[in-house]
Amino acid sequence: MNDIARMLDDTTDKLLAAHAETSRNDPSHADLKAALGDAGLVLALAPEDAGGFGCDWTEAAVIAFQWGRYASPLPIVPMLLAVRLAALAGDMTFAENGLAVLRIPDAAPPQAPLVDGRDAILLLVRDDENPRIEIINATVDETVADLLGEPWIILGEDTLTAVHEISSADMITTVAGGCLLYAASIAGALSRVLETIIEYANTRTQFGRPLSKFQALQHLIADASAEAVATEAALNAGLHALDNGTATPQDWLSAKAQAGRAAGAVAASAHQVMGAIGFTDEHPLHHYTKRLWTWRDDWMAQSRCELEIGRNAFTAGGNDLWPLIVDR
Amino acid sequence: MRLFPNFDSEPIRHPKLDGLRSEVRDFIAKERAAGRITFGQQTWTTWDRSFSERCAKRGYIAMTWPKKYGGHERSAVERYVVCEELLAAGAPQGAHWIADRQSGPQIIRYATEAIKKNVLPEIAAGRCTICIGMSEPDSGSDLSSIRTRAERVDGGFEVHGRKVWTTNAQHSEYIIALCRTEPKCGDRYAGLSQLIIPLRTEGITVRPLVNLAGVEELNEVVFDGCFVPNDYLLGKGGDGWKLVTQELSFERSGPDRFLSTFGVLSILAGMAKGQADRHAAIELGRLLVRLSSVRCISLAVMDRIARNEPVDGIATVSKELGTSLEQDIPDVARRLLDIRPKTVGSPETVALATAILNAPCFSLRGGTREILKGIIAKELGLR
Repeated sequence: MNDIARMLDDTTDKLLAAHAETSRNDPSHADLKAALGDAGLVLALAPEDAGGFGCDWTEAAVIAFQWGRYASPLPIVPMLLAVRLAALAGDMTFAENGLAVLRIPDAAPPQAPLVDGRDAILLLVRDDENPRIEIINATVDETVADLLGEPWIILGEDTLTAVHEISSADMITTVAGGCLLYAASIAGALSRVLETIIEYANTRTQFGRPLSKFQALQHLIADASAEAVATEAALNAGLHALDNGTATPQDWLSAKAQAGRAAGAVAASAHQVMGAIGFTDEHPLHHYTKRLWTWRDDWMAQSRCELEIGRNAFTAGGNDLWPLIVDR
Repeated sequence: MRLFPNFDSEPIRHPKLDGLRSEVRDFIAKERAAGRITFGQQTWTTWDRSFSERCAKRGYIAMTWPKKYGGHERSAVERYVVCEELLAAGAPQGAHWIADRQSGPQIIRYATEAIKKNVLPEIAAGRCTICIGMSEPDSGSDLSSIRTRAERVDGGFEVHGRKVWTTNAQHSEYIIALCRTEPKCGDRYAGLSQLIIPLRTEGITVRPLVNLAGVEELNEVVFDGCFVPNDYLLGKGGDGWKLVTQELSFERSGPDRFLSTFGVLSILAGMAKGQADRHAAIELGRLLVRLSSVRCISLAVMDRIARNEPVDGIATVSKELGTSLEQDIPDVARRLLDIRPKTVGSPETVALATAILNAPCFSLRGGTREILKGIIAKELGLR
């Protein structure tokens, strides 16, 4: 990876070390928003002539990964993607006040996190016949709350303010990029959770020895780590392919679904290892597991990714299954 | 085991190799048309020397080895492509697989020049099968407890002991046997050595064992004082444990550890087409997510080996996830397809039966699941 990626990693790390924790207790997230604005990180995916960094997907994923390592508030992936959609729509004001949301015509109605100052919803419509970005002003009469208690709106008959047709290639690349950025956030959270439980298992003593001496727990943590390794491998390969123009749906759908699979497995194992303390809010684990349980179904839900892969496989049939997996 | 983000090394850009893939697919299509591949019933342990010789003629064995030893000096990724294409097609690669995957590379690294010149070109020609002499009746997972001993005698070693569950020993030209060359002392991993032993030697008896699928593939190999010249020692005396550990990393990370039941997956994708509802699509999709992900790990290990980075932990993860997948595939197929496994019956029912009957060994050979998880835990710093 290059110096830009290293710089983004370092900047995001420092920024979140300073602001993520306090932002948890401040529903306005004002400090974090201000710091993020100063650092300009949100503009990672904007072209350089539009004032952005012109990052590739791998570089942007470094930001999302660090966001996961802190289980930080603010929906970084929809914010990063809003910038890309704003650029595609030719109106960079949405880079400041927009949130990207994916709408899949034959899936459940899309939902958007409710963030102060981000009122424009940039709906990427995954319609193969008519790929487009719909910009809507979301009505907020009724909100729901996610696992963290954060407010969301379910998008229904909202006011459509603009429609921008985009190319099929731009649509698919953005859908893919969204999947990989969420997979990166999940991978980041997984890495922190695993570090936390390994440290805990090595220090917490029961029956006169550390938990890590118990083979049952060694195997539980080994299994969880294996899923995290699989996630990073699929993520890395997917980003590499997307940045080099060789990605197929199998790549990014697998990466997102594998991340979802790992999110569930690692969260469950982590709570098992941490015992009762991890089930209370006296330990920070819950911030991570709740984000993991949320992110795995954001953008493209885990089961939706699995469904599409399965449908593609059934369409290919027995003889063409292998090429579907490996041909590029 | 961190793969992302990786600031320390650039990703290796592999060529696309479409031409090589289609070349291998043409070969497979011809073999199938000639009835030489029984789809879904054969794997990388199925011994068929004539198939291996045809692979050799096309340059599909010893692909990365030096030309002076019969190799083709092609890249690791080219070898990977050929291997995975043949595995996915269910080709019978047992006559060369182990020699190509791990024994040959061990010989290149650690054998004397005379042995290299004798053995490697034969492997490359598809005429030499090598088996792995690690397990013993009282040493399965606890490999360092082996009792086969190689005693120093004039000009070489005299070997006494018994190896078991040795794949294709009855067809093999050589066994690479882990032996105790020094008496056991405080360090249980010291005093072990690997010998490459010609199996057609006086004082060696090979007895086939019938496996769960009714196939004679495993064997018992008894060494009753056979003589092995000094030349046949790999590395230095006492290096055995180090060599075995290295060899196992090669053994654990390849596509053979996740494609053993790919035939059943193809049958599933083909047969259920008409009745593929949402549930079936999600179930098949879940398996394919796992397949793609473990393949990414396996390829990452290949790149790490190329960069001389450590792979023990990640190769172990690759095998553990891959073999779990191989074992789950027949179970999902069984539930989604309205067929029952049969040892004699239609190709689909026999393929399913083959997968079910072979599945238990996937998480045994090359290190049991429990041993692998212990290795992963150690790498994670659980102590």
